[in-house]
Amino acid sequence: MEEERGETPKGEAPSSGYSRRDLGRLAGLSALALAAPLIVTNQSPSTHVPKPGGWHSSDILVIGSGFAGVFAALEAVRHGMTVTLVDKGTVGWSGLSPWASDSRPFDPSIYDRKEWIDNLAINTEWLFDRKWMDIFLDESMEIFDILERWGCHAVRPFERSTVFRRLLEDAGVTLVERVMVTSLLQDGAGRVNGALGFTYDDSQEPCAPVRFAARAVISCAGAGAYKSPGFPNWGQTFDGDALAYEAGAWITGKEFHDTHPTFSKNPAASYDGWRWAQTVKGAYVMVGPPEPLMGGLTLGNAINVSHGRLMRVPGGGPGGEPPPEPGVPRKPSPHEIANRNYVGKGFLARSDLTLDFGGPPEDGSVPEQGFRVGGATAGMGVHKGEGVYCSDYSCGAAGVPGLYAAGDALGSMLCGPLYPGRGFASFGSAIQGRRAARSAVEYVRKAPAARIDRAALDRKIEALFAPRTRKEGFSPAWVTQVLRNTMTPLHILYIKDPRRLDGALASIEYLRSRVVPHMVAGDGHQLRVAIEAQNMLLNAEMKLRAGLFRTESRGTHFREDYPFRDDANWFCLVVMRKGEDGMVLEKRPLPDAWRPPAAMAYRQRYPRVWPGEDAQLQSRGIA
Amino acid sequence: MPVSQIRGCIGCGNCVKACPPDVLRLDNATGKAFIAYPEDCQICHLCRLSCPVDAIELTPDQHVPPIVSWG
Repeated sequence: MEEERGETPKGEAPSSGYSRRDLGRLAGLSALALAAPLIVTNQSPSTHVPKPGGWHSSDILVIGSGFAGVFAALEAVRHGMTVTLVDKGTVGWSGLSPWASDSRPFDPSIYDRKEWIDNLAINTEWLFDRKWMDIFLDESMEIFDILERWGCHAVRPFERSTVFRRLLEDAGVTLVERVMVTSLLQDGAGRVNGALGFTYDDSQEPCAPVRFAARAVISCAGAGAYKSPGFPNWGQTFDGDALAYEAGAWITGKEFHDTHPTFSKNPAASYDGWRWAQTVKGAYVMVGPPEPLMGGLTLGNAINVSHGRLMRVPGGGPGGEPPPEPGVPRKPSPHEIANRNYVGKGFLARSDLTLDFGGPPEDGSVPEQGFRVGGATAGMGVHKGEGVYCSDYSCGAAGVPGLYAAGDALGSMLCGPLYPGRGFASFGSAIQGRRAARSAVEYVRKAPAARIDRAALDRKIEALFAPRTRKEGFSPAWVTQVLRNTMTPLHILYIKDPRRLDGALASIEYLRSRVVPHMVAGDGHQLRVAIEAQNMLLNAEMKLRAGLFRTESRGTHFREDYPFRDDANWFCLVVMRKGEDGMVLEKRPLPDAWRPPAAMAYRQRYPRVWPGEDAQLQSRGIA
Repeated sequence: MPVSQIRGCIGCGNCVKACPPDVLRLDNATGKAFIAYPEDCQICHLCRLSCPVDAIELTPDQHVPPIVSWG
């Protein structure tokens, strides 16, 4: 490899904080392919906890600058608020926003509202939130028109960063970028009134704490995955859930999972699977209503594989024929085929739009992909299905005054416990960002000025920087690898059994209680990786506990010991919060009016068949 | 390896800002981008897409090959 100072990787990776010996007597970067070392010596421990810079003070603090955060910040400014927007990365580049390209605005001049709702009910196994969906159907065209006006449809998805930045700067939003927020500040009454973060890029200055004071905080910090193998989750590590959980909020939706595929050859090459979505110019407007039984993103293929039926479906990413599912008599509709093939104008419901797919890959090659394999998003939930629980559609975190959430940070169940079709995510985020801002504005007008608990803040700063000052301990990279290898396999999160969930839980609990307190970080980047590992482990425990708690199967939650939908006991959400002795889990029933009609036979309500379901239904007398 | 080479960098810093998992940094001495944490690259290509002079090369394999769930 060419060694050109300042441009090519440095063989010793000196700034990683690992010694040369720790990296396994490496000769060049190839040795990094070895597993991360367990115990490392901190080559550059900090001798002191760094002093924070000044305060960023504003009426409202928004965390995250994707669709939700941008809409939240602009809406708050429109109502006369001062706004600070902090992002772990850079406006428009972090989170899912740099590649989100599907849109499914509900145009009442084309579509039938009842058909959408009825189809969603079947596909989401009745668990989607009908009121949130009503809000989506009412407001999504407006969002489409705003994005059109801003010029978002004239640029590629990652180029929206320029559009977003211009809008935010023109509105006078204070931007704080490349700062990871690690905890929320609260006053004596539990009101959220600020946040603590840190700068991880220490190439100019040592990493340091950053403090925010605000009368309300809106978390638009997105979703997460376990540094996903093959899906564009990138920097997302459930940071919003962790912030809210530690502040006392209820978190919901953790028993359900995303099941996007990648491919067997180079599964981590996410761009090769999602190239079209990152480079297309224009907006995809999905054709037709959401399908009542969309194939491909259910647990069907996982179940097949789990029963030894190895389906070799060529190609990864979206498109192509989805793998067959057991027991589902279905034919794809013409709309589904049009949407799957996304070819030029055939894909568009609106004739005034054009799409530019940008031609073949830049270098003219088509990567060899091998076969479709599952779990590209290990750890990720369903868009809008998991996150901060809100009981009243205000986007406010139940029980935590001053904290709001929107987008994938909010567990709104907008479109159910499994992927009901493309195009809901970014519009849902925009709608909820705006709504969260309106609620926060109303709250701020009555809220007292922020009174910061200085002693608590000092303790948080010390805890945050503890890995930097430790001289020896566990490597965050090792913790991340063990987490991924514990949670990713088919038989833990996807095909569930209480003994396997308990086994994984014991391992995750061990990591949380005995390893995390001894992680070391040699620099700002390592500190970020350590905190991300901590947040991912918290999510893993939530997912395992929620999976154990819901003793039925529904959506993308499949329990081999309860392979049937149990409407009598489980027509509800599962919520969890931090208790004195660990996680507390409870049910939150959904309105009776949202239940499947009593006259509808079981198999009409639930056309997908779980293995072992019919025998269970028979023995329980459910028809 | 993932992000593998930067050749002809003009030091604009776009790639550093675009990279979600903080793989790239600007070198204080040269003012140019370098690959600081290649083990954390997720092969998303945002660095390459953000580069005005097409200086960045990637390969499709990760340092530690990830395990997949099924299939």
